[in-house]
Amino acid sequence: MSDIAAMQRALALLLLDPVGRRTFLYGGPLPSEAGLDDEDDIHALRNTLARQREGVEFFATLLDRKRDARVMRLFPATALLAPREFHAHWQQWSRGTDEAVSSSAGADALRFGAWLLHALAGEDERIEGAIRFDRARLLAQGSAIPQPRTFEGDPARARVYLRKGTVMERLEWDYAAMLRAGLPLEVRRPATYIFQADRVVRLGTGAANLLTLAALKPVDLNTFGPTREVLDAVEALRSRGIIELQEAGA
Amino acid sequence: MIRPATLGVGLGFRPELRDEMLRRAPSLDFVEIIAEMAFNEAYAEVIDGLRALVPITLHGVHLSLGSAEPLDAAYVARLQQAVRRFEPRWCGDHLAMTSIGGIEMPHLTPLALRSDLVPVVAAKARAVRAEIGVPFLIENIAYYFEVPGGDMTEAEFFSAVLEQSDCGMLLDLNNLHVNAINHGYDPYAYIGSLPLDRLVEVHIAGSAAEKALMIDTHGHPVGDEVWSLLAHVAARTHVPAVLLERDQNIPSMDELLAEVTHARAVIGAEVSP
Repeated sequence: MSDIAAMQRALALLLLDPVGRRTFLYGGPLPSEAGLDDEDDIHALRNTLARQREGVEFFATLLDRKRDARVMRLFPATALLAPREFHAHWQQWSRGTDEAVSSSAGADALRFGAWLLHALAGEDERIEGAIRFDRARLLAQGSAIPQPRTFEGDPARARVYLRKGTVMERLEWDYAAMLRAGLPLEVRRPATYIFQADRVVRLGTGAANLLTLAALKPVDLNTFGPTREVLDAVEALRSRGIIELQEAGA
Repeated sequence: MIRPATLGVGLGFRPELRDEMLRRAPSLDFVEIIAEMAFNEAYAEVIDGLRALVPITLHGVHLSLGSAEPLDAAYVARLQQAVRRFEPRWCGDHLAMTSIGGIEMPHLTPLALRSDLVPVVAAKARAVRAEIGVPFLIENIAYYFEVPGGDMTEAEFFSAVLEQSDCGMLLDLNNLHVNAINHGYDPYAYIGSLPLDRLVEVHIAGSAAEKALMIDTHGHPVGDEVWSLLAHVAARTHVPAVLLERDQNIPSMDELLAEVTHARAVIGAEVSP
């Protein structure tokens, strides 16, 4: 591999999509906090971390300034994205129906990177300073066009909304990212994390299932054949103000 | 390089606009289809419907032209197949990478602006052009961080790739506008240093400021700065095609057509019948 290719690979490792490797971290909880108690997941996470660190080290070597502030500026993932910013950028990544799923995964990659670099920052004050300095640049990748994937849902008809403050905003693609996290049509983990405003909301499996499905296609509770679990999840979400169900055709 | 025939001003196809675009395509001079949609049989019907009304072009997002590794032969084969199937006037993709060494990136990732990368990218572009049999255009991307190790400016790198590949230029003026602000350079000087005789298509779109950063949102009307850049380009060279891109906050077709009409006026193009 040429040195250019090696550099590009290192950059790719920094930007890599951990979702594609069956790890999923929303907001960067540590594995134990995320409920990643499955050995496979832990292994995948460690691999991802190792690969990301490989990228960090490569660039550090390239510039001969290990963990220098300039190194940190390379990474769009140095963003310490607040949920609102994250959502804004997620929207920018979304280019309609087909591409939206992977665009959300891209956001995940940045979020993961943010967690990684935040962790590194704890080891070196200079890095922490660099991250603060570059906070505005953390809105990186806004124009990126995600790789296309077939998506059969119709976002215009999705009817699950996430309440953010007093504003209802659709966040269905966030949940689609979960699907890409190796969770086909069901959430394997006992719990998953979903951002709500400035905090993380822990949802049960049923609720997560519903939201994941809603990310894929319109969830019509009349035809969905809801199980007790789903109905309970719907009520739990509704009562907590996380979702709003709308009439068909609304 | 022989520049393709003039197309005029077109609009990027987006699924949300499907019915309206089919109905009002005759008001456009051409429609640009995301190439990867053309790989998907689910879009064949609408693409056929559009190309029965107006010329089409294909614009890809996942060729990964800038990766320092061989082309993805399977991808190129699909592109070739789509070209045969839909007969676009030309195809384009970005001066960026989206995969390397088996790692997929869902971003148009910027390249290190290294002179030794130029021949690598140019060779790949030449190969694509040869395979697909229609003109191949290369587009400048918007980027929000600089990859280290470069020894060229962005304009030098873009120009060198165009010259060495003998491909057409797809100049995204909104990307240029965004980059100029975020990276602190003069967009007019940038244009002045480009081989404008290679210009085939211009992309225009809207952007928005996010704190200290200008973001290429494709979610706002084309800004005054981009219109000024378009006029600047049109005053210096013939602009064969202009494409309006809108990907979110999509307004009514009337509003989009108003922007199309304005673009025609800016470049001095005839109004489509």
